[in-house]
Amino acid sequence: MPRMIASRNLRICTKDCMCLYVCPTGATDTETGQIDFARCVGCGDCARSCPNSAISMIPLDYPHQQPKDDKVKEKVRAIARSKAAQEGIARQIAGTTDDPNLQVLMKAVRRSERLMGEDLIRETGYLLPQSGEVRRMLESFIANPPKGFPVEAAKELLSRMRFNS
Amino acid sequence: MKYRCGVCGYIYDEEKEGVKFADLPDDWQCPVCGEGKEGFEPMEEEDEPAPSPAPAAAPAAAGTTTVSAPEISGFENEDLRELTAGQLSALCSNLKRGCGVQQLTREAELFGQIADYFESKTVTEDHDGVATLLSMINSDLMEYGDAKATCALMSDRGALRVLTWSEKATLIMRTVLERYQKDPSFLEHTGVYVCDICGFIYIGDDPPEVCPVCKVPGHMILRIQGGA
Repeated sequence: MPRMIASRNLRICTKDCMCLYVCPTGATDTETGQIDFARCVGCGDCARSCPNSAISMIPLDYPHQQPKDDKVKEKVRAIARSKAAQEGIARQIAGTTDDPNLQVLMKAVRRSERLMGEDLIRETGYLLPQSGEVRRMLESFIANPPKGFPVEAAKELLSRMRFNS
Repeated sequence: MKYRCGVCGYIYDEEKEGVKFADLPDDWQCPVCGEGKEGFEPMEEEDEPAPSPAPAAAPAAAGTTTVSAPEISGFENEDLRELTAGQLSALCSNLKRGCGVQQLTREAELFGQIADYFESKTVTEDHDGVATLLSMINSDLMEYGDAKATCALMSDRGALRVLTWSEKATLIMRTVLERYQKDPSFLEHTGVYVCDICGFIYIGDDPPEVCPVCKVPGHMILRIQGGA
């Protein structure tokens, strides 16, 4: 099992094809433009030979995350909570107003609040999808799912993700 | 002489512009974030690093939130119990992004399903439109100083980073909403953009080449379209 696999950034790739010349398994030559992850052996030759640096190596295993202080968590979450509430209000205004300018502005506010909320909440211990915190979160969802919760999605994630603890 | 916007860091260079800063009309606004003239500070000779925006006010009492959103459910996991449905949705939509950059397409889709579920469970309390948003934004802005000090004390650069960015993006959002309240027509015949990384809102025809808050290239600053 490789430790890393190659991934092509299609915004940068100019089809110079050096990766095709060096790939030992043919994984870089596909009709989708992306590398065939199942065939990649993670040698990294394509990434090193690309004249545009359009290929990078994605790790498959990740280290443990830095632990978060409880006080930091509390302060950051208080702000994230307010952002989430504002996102809901902006969504509601955008959905009910007749003013097209206000609608666009509220869509922007909704998006902005979501992005800030995402960034804040992930800094409280949920940075990495493969972390133990995320695994425990998914297990908790399954153990006591609220009504209508997509249990199958959480179960599939638990079986697919390569958690680091 | 140069003047720097205290909100977004835009620099007004008198020499380049050919107009003294003092001679600009009173209603002149920062071309990037819309901050008024009063938000600009004269720059010392070639002082480089952009100062962080001044904290809006003294830190407020701990634990004050403007809107008490209801809890989603009694999860056994103590770390999750205090999170609202909206926060859980943001947590999962961020994991969706995290899987996306790792090319984990299926995993991203699954986190997206969970994020959508939690968003459908959010409850919006009574509000008075833009005025409510502004009052919540103003109380958020009072929390940043204290929160950033806590992160600095704990040497948590990651949390300090997110607070610094979101404080700036929130200040700019406040300026935009205040402008809308004063004169809703300022949004006519112009674009509304949001930086897809930090949430910086830009009103204008073409977004900046680099996000003034998080410094991501301008192609990540996306135009918001109207319609349902």
